[in-house]
Amino acid sequence: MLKADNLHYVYTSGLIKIVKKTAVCGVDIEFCPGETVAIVGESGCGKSTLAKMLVQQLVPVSGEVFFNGMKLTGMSWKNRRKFMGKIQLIPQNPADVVDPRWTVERSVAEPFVICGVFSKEEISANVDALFAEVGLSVEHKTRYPHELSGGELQRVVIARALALKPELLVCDEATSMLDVSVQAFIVMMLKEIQIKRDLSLVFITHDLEAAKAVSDRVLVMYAGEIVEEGTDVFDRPLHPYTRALLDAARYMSLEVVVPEEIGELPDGFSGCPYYRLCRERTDACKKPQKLRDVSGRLVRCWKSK
Amino acid sequence: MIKLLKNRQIALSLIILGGLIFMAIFAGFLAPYDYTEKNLQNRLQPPSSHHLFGTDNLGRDILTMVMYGSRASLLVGFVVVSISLAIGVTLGVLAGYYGGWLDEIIMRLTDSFLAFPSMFLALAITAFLGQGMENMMLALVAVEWTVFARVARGSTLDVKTKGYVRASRWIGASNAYVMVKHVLPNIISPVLIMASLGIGNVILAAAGLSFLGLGVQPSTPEWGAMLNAGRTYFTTAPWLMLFPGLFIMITVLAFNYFGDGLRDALDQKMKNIELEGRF
Repeated sequence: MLKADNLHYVYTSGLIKIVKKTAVCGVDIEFCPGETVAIVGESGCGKSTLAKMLVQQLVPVSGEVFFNGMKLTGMSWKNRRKFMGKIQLIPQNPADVVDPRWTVERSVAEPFVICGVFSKEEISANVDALFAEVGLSVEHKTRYPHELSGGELQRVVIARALALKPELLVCDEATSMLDVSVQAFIVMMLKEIQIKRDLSLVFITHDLEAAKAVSDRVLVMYAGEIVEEGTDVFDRPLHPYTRALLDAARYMSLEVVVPEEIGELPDGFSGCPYYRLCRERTDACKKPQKLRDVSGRLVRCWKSK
Repeated sequence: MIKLLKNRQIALSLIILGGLIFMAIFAGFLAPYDYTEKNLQNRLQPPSSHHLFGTDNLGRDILTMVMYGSRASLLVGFVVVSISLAIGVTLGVLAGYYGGWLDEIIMRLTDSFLAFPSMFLALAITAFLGQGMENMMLALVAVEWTVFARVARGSTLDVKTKGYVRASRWIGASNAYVMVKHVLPNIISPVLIMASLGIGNVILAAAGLSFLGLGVQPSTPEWGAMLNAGRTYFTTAPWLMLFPGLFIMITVLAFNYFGDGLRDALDQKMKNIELEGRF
C-alpha cells in the first residue's frame, strides 16, 4: 500500500560553516493493508524524520514514496491534495495541532470543510460519529483545547485524523506525553479502530512493551538505518543493538550496554554504525553492513545467523 | 467580554471614551450654543456661568467648539487607524506568511516609510497634496500603516510555525484559507492593542498638523486648530488653549489606557498573574 524506496534525509544548519547531519540513510519499507508496524529506536535515530517523510511533511533528499502505486514524492501540491487525507500523522503533542482559538468541534470538522464536498448537516453528522468513535461525549464538542486533558485532546486529534478515511495512520510517539493508564486506553482504541476500519498503523515509540503488544512487525532503527526487521524481534533479537536496547529497558543499567571506549570514529567511516558501542565488535565490522535475510528476519549484522 | 470589563483600566477608559463618543455624536443637542455663532461683544470672556469654558477671540463659546471638535478628532482617529490596520495587516500577514522576496519587498517598503520622521512625512504629504481633512488623513495613514505591518508580520512569523497551521495545510487547505482562518484570529490581539494605542497617536498627530495649519479648514472646530487659533492670546486668555489641550490629553490618555488594559487582559502569560490578584 505505502512503499518507501531508499529514503535519505540530511538536516543542514549554519550559515557560514554548513553542518550536515544525516538523519535517515537508505530506508526501504513497505506497509501492507491492515498491518501494524512498530518502529523503535533511541532518540535521534531518525524515527520521526522517517515518519514525516512517509506522510509527505518532509521532502526526502533522495528516495521515493509510493502510495498504491502512485509516486507521491515530487508530485505537485494540487495533485497530492487528494491523497492527503489517506495518510495521516498523529503527533506526540496533541496541543500542537489544534488551533487554540477554535472549539475542538471546529477542529475536527476542518478536514470536511477544507474538502469542500460536504453540506453542513453531513459535516455535523460526521463529526458526531467521529466523537463517538474516539470515545468523547457531546459535551466535549464546544470546549477549547486548553479545557481538555492531554488524553482527551489526543482523542480529538485522532478523530480529526480519521475524518478523511485514512488508509494509514502514523502515530509518532502519540502516547508518550500521556500517563500510563491513558496510554493503554489510547493504544487499545487505536487497535479497535484499526480492526473496524481495516487501516494500517505505524507505531513509532520508545515504549518497547507497547510495541511488542500491538505490532505485527517490528523495525529497529539505529543511526538512520534499519538494523533489524521481523515479526518476533523482541523474542529473539539478533542484532547486538536490539539486544542492548532490550537489556537497557530490562535492567535499567548502563554497564550491560556500553563497551570499552574507543573514541571517535574516523571521518568517512563506512562500517557498521553501531561499531563504537557494540559489545561484540570485531575488525570485520569496519566493512559496510547490508541487511541480510536470516531465516525470515532482516538483520544488518554479518555475525547473525 | 465581561472578563475584559473586570479589568479596572479597561472599564475606566471605556467610560471616558464612551463619554467622548457620546459627546461627539450628540454635540448638536448637548452644546449650549451654535459653534458658528459669533458675538464680538463677548470676545475673550473668561470661564463663567454663561460660558463654562469661556469664549474665543470671535466671541464663540469654547465648550461648544470643544464638543464639536471631538467629532473631527475622533473621526480622524478611527478612520486613519481602520485604514492603516487594513493595509498594514494585509501586507504584514502576506510578508510573514510567504516570506522570501515578497517579505523583502514589503518590509523594505515599510522600512523606507519608517526611515522618515513620522511628523515630517505627514507634513511633506500634506504640503504636497494641499491642506484639508482628507489629505491630512491620507498623510497619517502613510505614517501609521507601518506599525501594523510590522506587528502583523512578526506575529505571523510566530503563528505560521505552529502545528495547527501545518496540520491544516496537510489536509489540503489553501494558503488563503490558512491565512484567514488560522493566522488572522491568532494575531488579532497584538494588532488590536496596537490599534487602540494608535488612535491616541493619530489624534495627537492630527492635532499637531492642525496646529500647524495643515489640517481642517479654519471654520471647522477641531482641537488642534483651536490650539493654533488660541496661541496669539495665550498670555491674556489661556482658556483658549487650556480646554482643547485638556481634551486632547484626556482622549489620548484614555486610548492608551485602553490599549494597556487590553494588552494585560489578552496576554496569555499575564493572565494567570492577573487572575490571582483579582478574584
